Amino acid sequence: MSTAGHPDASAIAGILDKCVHCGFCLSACPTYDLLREEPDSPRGRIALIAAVAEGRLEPGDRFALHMYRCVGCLACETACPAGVEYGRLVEWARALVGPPGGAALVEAVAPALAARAGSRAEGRAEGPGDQAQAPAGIPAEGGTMDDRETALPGRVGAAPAPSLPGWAVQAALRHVLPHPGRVRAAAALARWFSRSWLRRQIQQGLLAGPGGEPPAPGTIAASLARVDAMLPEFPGRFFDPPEVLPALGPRRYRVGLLSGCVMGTLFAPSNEATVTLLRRAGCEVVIPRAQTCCGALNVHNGDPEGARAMARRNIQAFHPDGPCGPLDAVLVNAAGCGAAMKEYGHLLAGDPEWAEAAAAFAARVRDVTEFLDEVLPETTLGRIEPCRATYQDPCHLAHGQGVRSAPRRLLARIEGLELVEMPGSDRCCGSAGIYNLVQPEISERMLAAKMQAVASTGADLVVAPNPGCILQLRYGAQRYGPPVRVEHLVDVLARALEGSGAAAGPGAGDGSRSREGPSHG
Amino acid sequence: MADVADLADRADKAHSAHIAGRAGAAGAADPAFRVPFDRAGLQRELQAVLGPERVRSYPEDLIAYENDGSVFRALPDLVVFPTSTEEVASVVRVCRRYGAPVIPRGAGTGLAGGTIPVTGGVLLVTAKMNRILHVDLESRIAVVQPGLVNIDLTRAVMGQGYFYAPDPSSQLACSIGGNVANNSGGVHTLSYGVTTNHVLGLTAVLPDGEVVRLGAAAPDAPGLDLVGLFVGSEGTLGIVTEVVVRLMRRREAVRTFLAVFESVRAAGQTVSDIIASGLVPQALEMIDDVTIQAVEPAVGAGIPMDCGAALLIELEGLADGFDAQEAVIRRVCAANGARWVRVAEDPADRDRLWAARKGAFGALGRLAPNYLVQDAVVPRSRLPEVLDEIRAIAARYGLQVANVFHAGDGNLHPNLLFDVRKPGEIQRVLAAGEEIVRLCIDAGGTISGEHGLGIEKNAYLEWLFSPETLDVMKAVKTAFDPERLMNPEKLLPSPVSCSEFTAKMAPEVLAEMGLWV
Repeated sequence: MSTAGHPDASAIAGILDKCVHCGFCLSACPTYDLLREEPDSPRGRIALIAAVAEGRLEPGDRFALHMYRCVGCLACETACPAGVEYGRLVEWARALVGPPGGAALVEAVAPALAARAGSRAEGRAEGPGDQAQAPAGIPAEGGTMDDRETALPGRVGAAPAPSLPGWAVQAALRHVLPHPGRVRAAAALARWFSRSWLRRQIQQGLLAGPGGEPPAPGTIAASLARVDAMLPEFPGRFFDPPEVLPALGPRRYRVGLLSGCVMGTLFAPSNEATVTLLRRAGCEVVIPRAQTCCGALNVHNGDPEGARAMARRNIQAFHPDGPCGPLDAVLVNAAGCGAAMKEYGHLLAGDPEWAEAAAAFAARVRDVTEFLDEVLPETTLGRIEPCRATYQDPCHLAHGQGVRSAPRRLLARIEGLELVEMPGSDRCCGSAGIYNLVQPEISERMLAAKMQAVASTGADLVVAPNPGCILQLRYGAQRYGPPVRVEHLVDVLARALEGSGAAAGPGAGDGSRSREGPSHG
Repeated sequence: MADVADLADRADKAHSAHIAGRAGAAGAADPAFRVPFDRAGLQRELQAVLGPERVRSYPEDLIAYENDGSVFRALPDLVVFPTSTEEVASVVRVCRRYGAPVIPRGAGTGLAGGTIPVTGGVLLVTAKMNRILHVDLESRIAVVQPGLVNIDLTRAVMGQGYFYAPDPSSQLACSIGGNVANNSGGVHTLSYGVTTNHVLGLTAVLPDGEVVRLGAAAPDAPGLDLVGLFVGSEGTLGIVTEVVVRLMRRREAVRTFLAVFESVRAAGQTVSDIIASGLVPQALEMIDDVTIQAVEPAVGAGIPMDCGAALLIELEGLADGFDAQEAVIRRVCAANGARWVRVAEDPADRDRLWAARKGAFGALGRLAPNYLVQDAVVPRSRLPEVLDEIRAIAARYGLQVANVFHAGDGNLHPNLLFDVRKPGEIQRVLAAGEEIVRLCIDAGGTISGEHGLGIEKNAYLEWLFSPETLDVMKAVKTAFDPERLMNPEKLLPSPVSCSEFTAKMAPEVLAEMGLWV
């Protein structure tokens, strides 16, 4: 390898220069907190990325492993005094190594292979140069996390589960997400399965022993049982609104709304609640059919090209000169999507044809909580049944977009809701896009810690304005307790406004709004 | 003293042999400082002790551990993660048998290169030894493992109204073990003292693998003060594996001031005048104009970007006395032409002000890719002139200097900003740094307040102490570590000090270290 440095390194040289390795990011990092090893900290990953950029290190499987162990929560960016844009560094590194698969797969199968290989581990541990050239280097050392159980109290025998296979991630990124129709078809299939005879057969026949006991840790059955437990409840129908919905009352704003992949299917009722809230706030809501997935998962999983294609479609769909017409804002009710869309300007900066439109689009993107906090009248937002609630800061809202106080202000204006802060409310819950699928073990440990923080508040409701967090926390409530309800902020707000006796707008309040209470298994 | 001379002599001889042996055995492809040993054999034996997963040699692991908070870097041969005193002792014994250096490392936030494995060897990382073993609030003590992050101790006891006093700026990240190694201070050192004032006892693994308990859970243990000797020894005498620390009761009230001045000199004079007035605030910190350009955009503490310097002043104690003390502070500030003085409005405001101070080093990354920070202490009465002279020195070398420091203690932190990739720049920075150190010594000061000497300032010890005094230090080192395997070449004068070492950081040398894979 040349010592001249990596050919693509110029894109990140300015960011790398800012890091003076002070280490302030270490305590903010959830993976460092659990693993306490530098290569799994922001500072360590930056050192590895710098070494690749300098041409000192080949970006192989081991490098990829550390890059994909990052949850991408960006808490380190909040902690960094130098303003290092860490997220962009990791995106660069992931684009370099491609979508997860190789590394994650290595980690997943390493324990089994290592056990089989037994003492053949000898002779693998020579110089660094030797190892780097060793094929794929299924690590007997490194990788797994045997010794850390003491670090996290309350770890509940989380079995190391094989992660989502790389081919499945890549297929989803490249062939499903860019096509809203396929997203819906996949969701419909999952919904059918979740309610099917087949699932019950698998649960009874494969995932439970003769006495109904759970499968032994480390087995494939245990992994399947975990995925089965994570499978959420699906709403009766998906989000399918008309393209334009008039304001209820005089029109004050004209806003666009991203339907979202998960929000449009699993959280269709929350999307409907969002529309209702916006219309009651005097917004004409435009939901262009031409829009597509935001591309966040592609950006975070080494497929920036795919993300760019999706960004272009969305920019076009919401373009003021197009059929959509001028908009005061493009609103998003999923924090991860919003953060990605606010980055479109950066994503397309190198594309002369699109750069300007992308920057203009990004400037109009707002999280729905930011917008509602501004436009809803400075009075009570209604009443709900008395409850003690705690707020989970979605990483990509707090760290990614710097939105922390708007959602809290909204909650504080609901009568009957007592807001209690949990320790580390802006610490990642372990959902992190597809992290809970590709890094199951670390994700489980982060979730267990999060549920302890929730328990310490005595709350019976957790509010999190992001679908990934909601699904993860609902699963966490089942698996680790406490038996809390977990809801999107818009659902709580919509219920409060109903409770205050005001009329709910059309498109909400029908059958699909009857949220299932989360099952407390 | 004959024994001391003898020990010192033996140390010198061993040292010469050491260096010579390295140069001879290592051959042309290896930088002269690296100590040769049977790495594969050592790795196998260490894996037998710790298991394969806590003994690492992947290039990714080594590269992630080649840096600390300083400007230096060097690759370890192996990185190990023990979790108990017994494991540390086993690692040390095995390494000794192989003749491999052992370099202890906590959180790697040090600023003087104290954890940089310049000789190669085994980097012993205590980050997984981060438990609080015991808390006794009645006796106001806690027993902790060395890898515990400083702030985590205070967080664990603050609910009961206690805190751990030493609060280095890096307290969110740095480890108690690292604080012990460097005798770290903090922004409240002015009234609470440094780490050594808060450590009652230690468990340590000596370089021969023996485990000793020093001091006691009660203050003022009899016999030689080996705790005092260990605190600040930068891991050169052994590895601390448990620390008995004093906890303090949280004060009733706190009042924090931000005072803004037109010049560094006026702020420096204010510091001298406040101390001369007889008032000793709990903290008295200065941030100069250059530093403000870095921290204000990072934190938004409300410090005017066009001012010359800002002082952070904090009172802690009984609220009753605060008004009289505030009057003194305001009077002195006004007399020195302060633009304005304000009191932190609430805890969040106070946190922001302290974030501006504590995040300053990291924030300098906004101004330049690298910085070299000095840590000299000068008599407070000389602050204004020394600050002026430091600026003059930096200007002479064509460098920018950012001052952010413990003004109340006279503990300076001039940061020379630079870009290590620009040819000749590191040499100019080191030369300017030396002049600054000379200046501070000539002003009646000393070379390091709290950061330790590491490989950055170890050579300067010779400017400060007589050969006889240095002989005593060398003799102590030899008494503990005759084979010079415990964090070698640090703290005491050595051929491996920063200028020599950085000369060997050239890319082609790094390539020869086996890095270019």
